[in-house]
Amino acid sequence: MAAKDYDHLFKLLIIGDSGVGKSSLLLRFADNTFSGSYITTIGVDFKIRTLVINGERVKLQIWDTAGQERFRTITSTYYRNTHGVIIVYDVTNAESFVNVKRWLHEIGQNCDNVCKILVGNKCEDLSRKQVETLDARRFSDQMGVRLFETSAKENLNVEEMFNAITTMVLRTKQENLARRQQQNEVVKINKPKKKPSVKKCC
Amino acid sequence: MKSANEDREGLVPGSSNMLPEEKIKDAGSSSDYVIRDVSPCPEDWENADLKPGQETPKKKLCGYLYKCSPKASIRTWKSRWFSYDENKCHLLYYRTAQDINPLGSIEISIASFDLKVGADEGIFEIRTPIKDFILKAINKQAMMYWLQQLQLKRWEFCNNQAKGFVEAVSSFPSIDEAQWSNTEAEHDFLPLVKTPTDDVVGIKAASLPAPSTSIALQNISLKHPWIEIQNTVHNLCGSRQNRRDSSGNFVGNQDNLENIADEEHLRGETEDTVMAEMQKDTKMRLKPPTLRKFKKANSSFRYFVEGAEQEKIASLQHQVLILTEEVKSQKELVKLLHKALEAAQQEKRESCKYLVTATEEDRLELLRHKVRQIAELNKQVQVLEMEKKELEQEVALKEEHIKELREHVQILMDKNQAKQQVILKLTEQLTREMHDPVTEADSITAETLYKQQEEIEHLKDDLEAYKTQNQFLNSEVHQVTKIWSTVAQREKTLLMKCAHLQAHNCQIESKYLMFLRTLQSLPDLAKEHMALVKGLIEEALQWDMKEETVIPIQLSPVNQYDDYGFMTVPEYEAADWKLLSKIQALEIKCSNLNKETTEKSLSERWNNLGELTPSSELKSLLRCGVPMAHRQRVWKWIISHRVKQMRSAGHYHNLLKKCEVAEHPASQQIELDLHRTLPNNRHFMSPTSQFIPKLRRVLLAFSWQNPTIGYCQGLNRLAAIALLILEEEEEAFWCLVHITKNLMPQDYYSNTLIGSQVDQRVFKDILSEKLPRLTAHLEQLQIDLSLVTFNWFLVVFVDSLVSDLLFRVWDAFLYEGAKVIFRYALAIFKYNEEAILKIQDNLEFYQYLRFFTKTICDGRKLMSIAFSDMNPFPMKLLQNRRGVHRLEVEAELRELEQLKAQYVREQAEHAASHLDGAASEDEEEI
Repeated sequence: MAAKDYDHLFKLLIIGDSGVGKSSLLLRFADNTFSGSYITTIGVDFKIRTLVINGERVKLQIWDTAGQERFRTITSTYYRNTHGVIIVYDVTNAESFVNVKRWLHEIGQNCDNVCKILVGNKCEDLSRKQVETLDARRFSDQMGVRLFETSAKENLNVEEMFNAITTMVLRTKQENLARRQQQNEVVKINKPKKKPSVKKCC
Repeated sequence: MKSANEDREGLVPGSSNMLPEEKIKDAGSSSDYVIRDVSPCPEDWENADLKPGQETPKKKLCGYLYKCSPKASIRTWKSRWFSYDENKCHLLYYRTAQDINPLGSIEISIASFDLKVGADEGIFEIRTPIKDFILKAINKQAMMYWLQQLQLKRWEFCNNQAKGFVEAVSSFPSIDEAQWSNTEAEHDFLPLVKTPTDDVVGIKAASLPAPSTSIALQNISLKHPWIEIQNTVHNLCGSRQNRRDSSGNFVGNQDNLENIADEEHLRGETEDTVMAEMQKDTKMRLKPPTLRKFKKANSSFRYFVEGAEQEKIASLQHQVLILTEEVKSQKELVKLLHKALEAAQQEKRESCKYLVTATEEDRLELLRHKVRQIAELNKQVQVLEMEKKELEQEVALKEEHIKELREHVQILMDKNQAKQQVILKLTEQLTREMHDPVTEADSITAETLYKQQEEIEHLKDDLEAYKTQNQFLNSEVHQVTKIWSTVAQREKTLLMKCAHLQAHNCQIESKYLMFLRTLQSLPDLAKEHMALVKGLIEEALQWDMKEETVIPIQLSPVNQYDDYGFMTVPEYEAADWKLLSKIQALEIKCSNLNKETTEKSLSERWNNLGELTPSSELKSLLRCGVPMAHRQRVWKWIISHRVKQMRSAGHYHNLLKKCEVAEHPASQQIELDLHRTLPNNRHFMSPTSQFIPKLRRVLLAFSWQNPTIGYCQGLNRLAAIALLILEEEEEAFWCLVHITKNLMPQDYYSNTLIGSQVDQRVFKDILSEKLPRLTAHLEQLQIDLSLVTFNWFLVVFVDSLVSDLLFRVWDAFLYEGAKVIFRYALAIFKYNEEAILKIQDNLEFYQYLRFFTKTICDGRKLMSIAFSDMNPFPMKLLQNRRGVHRLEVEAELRELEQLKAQYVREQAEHAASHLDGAASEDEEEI
C-alpha cells in the first residue's frame, strides 16, 4: 500500500468463557449490530475498526477467540503480538466470573506485558444478574485491571470499553516510545511508573 | 235282451253298408276326442273320421265338457260345448254345439292349467288372471287330451306371436311337437279299447278305463237322443257277447243287480243327480268288468229305447227284478224254515230221550246233565263274549289307524296342493314374461329404427368433425410447444446473459466503491473533491439498497435459501462485503446455469448405478458430487458400510436413556452451542426448529459414546450437516461416529486437539511443497494460515464453503477420509492463488481469509484442482508427516505444561513475597 490509512495499528484479543458474549461485543463494536444467534467461534475470528483517539487514527484488529477450554492450547498462539486483552465474563453467570482468574493466568503465561480490561457483559438484564458490580470492582482493583459492565445487546458501554482499552494501549505505546528515546538520549535511570519490568511488548 | 240288441243294429244311421265292427272301430278312433263322439250331427261323425291325429295336422279342438258353476254352494255341473278359436287363442263355450253365440270365453294364452289328483276323475282347472274355470271331462284320458291340446295351442299361439323372439329357441317347439305327436299316437291307440271283445275291454278297462265310461256318459246326455241311441246300439253290440258269456254270473251276483236296481230308481230325476250316479259308476269300474259292462249296457238299454219297446224292456226288466227279489225272499224263508225245523227236531229228540228214561232218578240225572251242559254253555258264552270284546278293541284300534292314515293322506294332499299353487304362480309368471318381450319387440318399430339410423349418421358426422378438430389441435399443440421451447430457450439465454451482466455490473460497482473508498482515504484531497466523493459513496450505497430489493424479485431466480436451507446471500456485516457476496451469489447462479447440461449426464450415471459397492467408479462419482436425489441414500450406505462393526440395533437408544438418567459434563456447552449452529440455515435458525432437539440428542448421545472427546465445539456443525442430509438422528449420530472414529486421526477433537494441531503443521508442509510461491508470499507477510485453516479441518469446511460445494466435499470426504480436506484446502488456495499473491498487507490478508472461501463458485474447477492438480498425493506421505509432527507437538505441549507449572509456581512465590501486602485477599475473594 502506498499510504497508510492509520497512525497506529493495535491488535486486541477478546477472551473469556464460552457464551459470555465475546463475539457479540465484537459485532457490536465493529459493525454496530447485534444478532441473537451468532455462530460459535471455532479457533479465531477477527474484525477491524479504526478509531480516532486524541486526533490519532488507531486501527484495531480485534481477535475473537473460542471459549471452550480445549481451544486454549491453540489460542496461545493468538497472544503473540497482542497489545491488549479484553477478558469478558457474563454477569448472569457466576462461573464465568470465577474463571476470570484462570484467564488472567492464561495471559500471564503467554505475554509479559499487555494491557488488560475486565468486561462484565449482558448487564442489560438486572433480574438475572449474579455477579454484583461491587464484587467485580473489588476483584478488578485487586488485579489492577479496569472493569466495564457492558451490554452488547443494548449497546451499553461497548464503545466506551473499547475506547478505554485503545487509549490504554496507545498510552502504553507512547510511554514506551518516550522511554526508549530517553534511553537513547541520556543514560539516565528513570523510575518505571507502573510495570516493574518490560519484557516484550509490541 | 238279445232281440233288443238286434233291433238296435238296424238303427245305425247312414252306415248300413258298414260292418258294425268297423263302425265301432271308426267311432272309437274318433272317440279319443271324447267330445267329438257327442257331436250331434252325422257330418261331425265324418269330420271325426277325417281327424285322426296323424292324418290331419290341424284339428279343430272342440267338444263337450262339464263346467262347474261356481255360484252354487254345492258344485253343480253343466254340460257345455267347448270350442277352441285358433285366431284368438280363446276357448269358447256354448250351451250347445249348434249355438252361434258363445256363453263365454277363456283366454288360453294367458291361462294356466291344473288338475288335482284328489279330485274326482276328469276334473281339471283352467286359470286365467280374470277367472278360474273348473271343468270336467268324462274321464282321465279325455281330460289329459284336453289339457295337452290346450297346452299345445297355448304354446303354438305364443310361439307364433313371438316368432322373432322365439326363433332363437326354435329347438323347443320341435321337441314339443314330437312329444305331442307321441301323445296323439297314444290317443289314436285308444279306439281299440272300444272293440267289444271281452278280453280287450277287460284289459283296457283296467289300464285305460276311459272309453267305456265316456260312452256311458254320452248315453246319459238327454239332450241328444238320436246320437245317444246310436251310441247305445254300438254299446249293445259291443257288450252283447259279453252279456251272453256272463249270464252264468248273473244270478250269483245278485247284490250287484240290486244296486243297479236302486240306481235305476234314482235316474232320470235330474241331470245333476245323473252326474252323481255317473261318478258312482266310474267308481264301480273296479268291479268285475264283465258285470259292469252288462250293467251299463242294461241301464242304457232300459233308459233310452223309444216307445213300446222301451216300455216292454222296462217292464221285463222290472219283472226280472221283482222275480229275483221274490226268489231271494223265498230262499230266506226256506233258510229260516230249515233252521226252525232243525231246532224242532232237536227238541223232539231231547224230549224223546227224556221220555225214554222212565225212572225219576234217571230223569234227575238227565236234568243234572242238562244243567251242567247249560253251565258249560254259559261259560262258553262268556269266553265268546270276551273274544268279542277283544275283537271290538281291535276294530277300534284299526279304525284309529285308518284315521291316522287318512290324516296323513290329507297332509300329503295339502302339500300337493301347495306345490300346484307354486306351479300355477310360476306359469302365470312365465306367461307374463313371455308377453313382455313381445311388447318390447313390438315397440321397436321401423320408425324408431329409422330414427336411430339417422342418429347414427349424425354421430358419424360429429365423429368426423371431432377427428378433424383433433388433428388440427394436435398440430396446434405441437406448434405452440415448439414456439414455447424456443421462447424458453431464448429466455434462458437472456437470463444467463442478464446474470452475467449483473455479475459484471456488481464487480464494476464494487471496484467503483473500492475506488471511492481509496479516494476518501487520500489525505491530500481538496475539500470540494472530498464532498463529491462522499456524495458518490452515499449514492452508491443507495443503489445498492435499490438493487437488493428489486433485482432478486424481477430478474434473479436465485432463492433466498438453497435446497438444503442455506442462505444464498449471507448477511455480511460490512457494507462492502455485501456487494462481494452478491457478486458471488450471481456467479454461483451463472455457474449453476452453465453446469445444468453436465449435471444431467451425472444424474443419469447415478440412476444407472443401482446397488452400491466400493469401487473406483463410485469413488470418482463421489468426487464429482452426489445429486441431491441420491445423497441421502449414498451417505447412509457409506456410513452403514463403515460403522458395521460398531453398530448395534439399540445402541443409540441406550445412549439416549443414559442421557436422561445422568447429565454429561459437556451438556452445558452443548446447550450453549445448539442455537449457535448453522445460523444461516433456515432449519437451524429458529430456536423452535425441530432440528434443535434432534441435534441435542445426537450430541449428548455422542458425548456418552466417546468419553475422550465428550463434546468439542465444531461437532455441532458436523452433526447438523449430517442431520440435514440424513434426517434421522440415529443416522446422524453414526455419521458423527464414522467421522471421528474412521476418518479423522486420533485426538482430533479430544482435550488437547493434538490431532488437529498436527494436521495444521502437516498442511503447512504440504502447502509449501505444492504451492511454494504462495508460501513464500505468506512468509513475507507473516501470515499464520492455521488461524483460518484450523477451522476448515476441524469442521470440514462447514460455514466456510457455499453449501453446493460443501456437500460435494463431504461426499468425497465421507468415502475417502481426511485426505479430501487436505486436497480441498490446497485447492482453495490454488484457486485463489493469483488474488492472494496480489495482497501485500497483513491486515488485508487476514480480512481476505475471512470470506474468500465463500467466493468460490466453480465447484468443478475446484474439484479438478483438488483431485488432479494436487496429485500425486500419497497417503503414506501424509501419515509420515503426521507421525513426525505429532512428536513435535507432543514435545511442545509438554514444554507448555512445564511453563505453565513454572508460571504457577512463580505466581505463588510472587504472592508469598507480597505476603505482607493484601495479595492474599483475592484468594479469599474467590
